[in-house]
Amino acid sequence: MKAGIIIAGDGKTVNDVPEQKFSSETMHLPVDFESDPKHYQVVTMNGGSAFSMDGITFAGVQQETLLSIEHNYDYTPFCFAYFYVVSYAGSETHPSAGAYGDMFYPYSGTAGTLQDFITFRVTDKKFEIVHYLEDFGYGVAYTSTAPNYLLRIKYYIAPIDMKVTAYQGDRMTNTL
Amino acid sequence: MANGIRVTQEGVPVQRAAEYQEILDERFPFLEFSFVGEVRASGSIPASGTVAVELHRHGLPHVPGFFWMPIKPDGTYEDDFNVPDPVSTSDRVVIEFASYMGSSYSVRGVLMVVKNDLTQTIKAPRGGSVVQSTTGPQKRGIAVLREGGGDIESNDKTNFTLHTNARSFAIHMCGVENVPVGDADGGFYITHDLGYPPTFFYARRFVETFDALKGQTCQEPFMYNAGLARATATTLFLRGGQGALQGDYMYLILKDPVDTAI
Repeated sequence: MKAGIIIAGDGKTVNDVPEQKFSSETMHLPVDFESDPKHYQVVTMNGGSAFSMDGITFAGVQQETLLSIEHNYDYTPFCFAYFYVVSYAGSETHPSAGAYGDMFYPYSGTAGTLQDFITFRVTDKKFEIVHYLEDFGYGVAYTSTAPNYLLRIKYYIAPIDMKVTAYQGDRMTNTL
Repeated sequence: MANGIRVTQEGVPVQRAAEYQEILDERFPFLEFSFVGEVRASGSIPASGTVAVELHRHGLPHVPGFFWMPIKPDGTYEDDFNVPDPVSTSDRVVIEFASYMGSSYSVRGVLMVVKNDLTQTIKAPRGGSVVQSTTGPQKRGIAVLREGGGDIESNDKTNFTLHTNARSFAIHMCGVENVPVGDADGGFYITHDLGYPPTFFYARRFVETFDALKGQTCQEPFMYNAGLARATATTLFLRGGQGALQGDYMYLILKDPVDTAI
C-alpha cells in the first residue's frame, strides 16, 4: 500500500500530476533538524594559518582542518557549503569583503603555480572545513593570506548517499 | 479557493511565519528530484567522431538541471578529468566521448535529476513577519516514509520523503539568464531580496555545435562552478573565475531554514 500527501494544483485533482503543488512520492532535498551536531549551520571563523612555501624546497600539500563534525550517517552524504568573506585584514571595505564562494573559496591561484583555498571535505564519518595550500613545484615563494580572512560559512549535510568514500567541495583536486 | 497545507516550525503561528520558518507551504515549489541513484555505463568509443552515452532517460518535458558525482573504480570520486562531465538534453542525461579518449569507456556515478522545470523563471513570494527563532525537534507534525523506508519512529531522515523535523528545501528563485558576449561585468546579477547571502547553484547551458549532440540544448551539472560570486543581502553577482561568463546559465536559489537565513 502506498500512503502519503499530495497537494493538488488549484482547480485540479491529485491525478493531474504535472499540476501538483507537492507530492510526498517525489524525492526532496532534506536536512535533519534533530541532528546533533547540527547538519546545517552558519559558522564564523578565521580563514586558516599562514602556510608558506619558500620556492626552493617542494612543499607538496599543506592542510589543516578548521572544523570537524561527525554526521552519524553510515555513508558519505550530499553536502554543500558557501564561504562569505566578512572582512579582510579587519577591513569590511576591502575588495575581498563581500566575496562569496560556492563549495570553495580561493585565496590565491597565482597563475597555476600553486593553489591556496578553503573548502569542505566529507567522508562516511565526518564533514570538515579544510584549508589547503598545494605547491605545484614551479619554485615560487608564497605565504598564505588565509589569516587575513574572516569568513561566514554556511553548510548543509543532506541524507543522500553519494556512494563514494570521500570527496571535496572544490571537486577539482583530491588531496584526501 | 487555493488548495494547500502549511506547516510551520514549533512555536511559530502559521499566520505570522516567515517562509524560512515553514516546513511545508503550497505557495512555494519544493525542490524535487525525478531520479536519485547510481548509474553505470561501459562500451566502445568509435575510431572517429563522438558517441553520446546514455546514463539516464529522464522523461521530463524540459532539459533539466541535475547534480552529478563521478566515481572511480576504487570508490573515490573522479577528480582528474579523465571522464567528461555529463549533460542533460531534452530526453536523456548523456556523456559524450570522442575518439581521442581511447577505445572504450566505463562510467559510474550518482545522478540527481531535478524534476522542477528550472527554465521557468520563478521568484517566490516572501510571506509573514520575521519572527526570530531557531529550528529544533518538534512534537507535532508530519512524517511520510519513503516506499520501503522502514520504521515511522526512525530518526534516520534518509527513510522519509517528508518529515517535520527535516527541512525540504523550497525554491526561492530559478531561471535561465543570458550573459552577452563582451558584457562589461563578465557575469550576471540576481536580485534575490532574501536579506542574506543565499544558497544557490548555477550551471552553463548551451546548444552543442558538433558531433553526436549537434543542435541539441545541453545543460551542464550544478556544483562544478569555476566562477566567483559576490553577495549582498539583496543581490547575488555571478562571474567567471579566470574568464568572463558568457552564454546561458541556469540558476537556482533555495529558501534556507531560519538558522542559516542570516
